[in-house]
Amino acid sequence: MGPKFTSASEPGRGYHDIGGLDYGEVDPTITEVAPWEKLSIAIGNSMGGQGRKVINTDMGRRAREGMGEEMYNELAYFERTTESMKITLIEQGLFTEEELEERMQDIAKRISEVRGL
Amino acid sequence: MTNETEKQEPDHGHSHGDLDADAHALEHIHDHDRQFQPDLEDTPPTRYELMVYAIRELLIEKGHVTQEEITKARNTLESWQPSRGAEIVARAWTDPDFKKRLLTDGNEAMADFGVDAGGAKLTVLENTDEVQNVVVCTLCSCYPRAVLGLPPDWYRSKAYRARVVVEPRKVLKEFGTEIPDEVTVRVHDSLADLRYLVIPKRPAGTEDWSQEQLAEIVTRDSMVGVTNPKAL
Repeated sequence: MGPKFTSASEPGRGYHDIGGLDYGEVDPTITEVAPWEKLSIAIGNSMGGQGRKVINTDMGRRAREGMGEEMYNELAYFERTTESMKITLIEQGLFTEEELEERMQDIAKRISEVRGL
Repeated sequence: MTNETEKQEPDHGHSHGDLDADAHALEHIHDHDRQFQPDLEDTPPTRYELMVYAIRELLIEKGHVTQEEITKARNTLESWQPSRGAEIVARAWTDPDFKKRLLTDGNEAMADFGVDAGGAKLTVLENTDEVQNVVVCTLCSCYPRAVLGLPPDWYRSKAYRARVVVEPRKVLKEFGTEIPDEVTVRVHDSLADLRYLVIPKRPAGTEDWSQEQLAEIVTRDSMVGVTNPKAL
C-alpha cells in the first residue's frame, strides 16, 4: 500500500494528477479483464467516438476528475470508468439516476432468482 | 487468453442448464458478456457489474444504441492485441521506408495494418543506442489500444503513473530492465488525443530473421518501453 495521496493539500493539483508523487513499488501482476468490465468498455465505445458520438473521452475524464477524491481513490479502475460513463450518460439525458438504480435492483432480483441466491 | 478461458468446459459444479436459465432471465445479457467467473458464480454481482447490465438495458430499450452495435464494439475490443503492434515493429525493423513513414505519421503508416486510432494521434518513438523511450499516462490510462490492446494493470496503477516520470531507471529496474548511465531515458506522458508506440531496439543476432520471427520477440512491455526484446 502506498501513502494516501496528498494532492488535496497541494493548491492547483487535482487528485488525479499524481505524476511525481511518492508511491510504492510497481506491482507487475496481470489480471484478466472480467467480462462485465469488457462490456463496460464496449458500451462506452459504442456510445463514444468510435460509435454514436454521444459521449467522448474528455467527458469521461472530466467526470472522473469531478467525482471527488474519496470516490476516485476508493473505486477500482473499471468501477471508476463505469461510474464516469454513468455520470456522462445521465448528463446527456439518456436516462436518470432513479431509472438506473431501479433497473439495477430489478436485475439483481432476476439474477438471484435464477441462481437461487 | 480470455478466449481460451471461455472455451474451457465449465468444471465447477454447475451444469450448462444453470447458465441457460441465467440467460433466459437476463435476456439482454448477451452470451459473450455472461461468462460468470467460476469462483464468483455463487456470489451476487457487484454494484458496478449490475450498473453495466442496467446501463445496457436502458440504452437499448430507449433506442440510444443496439445490441448489435455493442457486440461489434466488443468484437473490435477483442481484435486489439499486442501482436498487431509487434507486426508493425517487425516491419519497421526490416523496411526502412516503412519505418520512416511510421516515425513521420504513425496514423498514416499504421493504416497499412488496419489500425484506426479513433481520432487520437499516434506518435512513434524509436529506441536507439543513445535513447530509451518510456510511455506513461500520469493522469489516467491513455494507451494505444488499437495496436497494444487494453493497458495492463501496472500501466493503470497509481505507482507506475506517479513514479515513472521522476525515477524511470528505478521503475525499469523493477521490470528487470537495467539502462546504462550513458543512455538517456526519455519519458513520454500520454493524452486523450496523443498516444505513443515505442519501436524497441532490434537485438543483435537477429540479422537474418524473418519479419514473422522478429514479431515473436516484440513484447507488449517492450512497446511501452519498460523492457527490451532479446533474441531467443
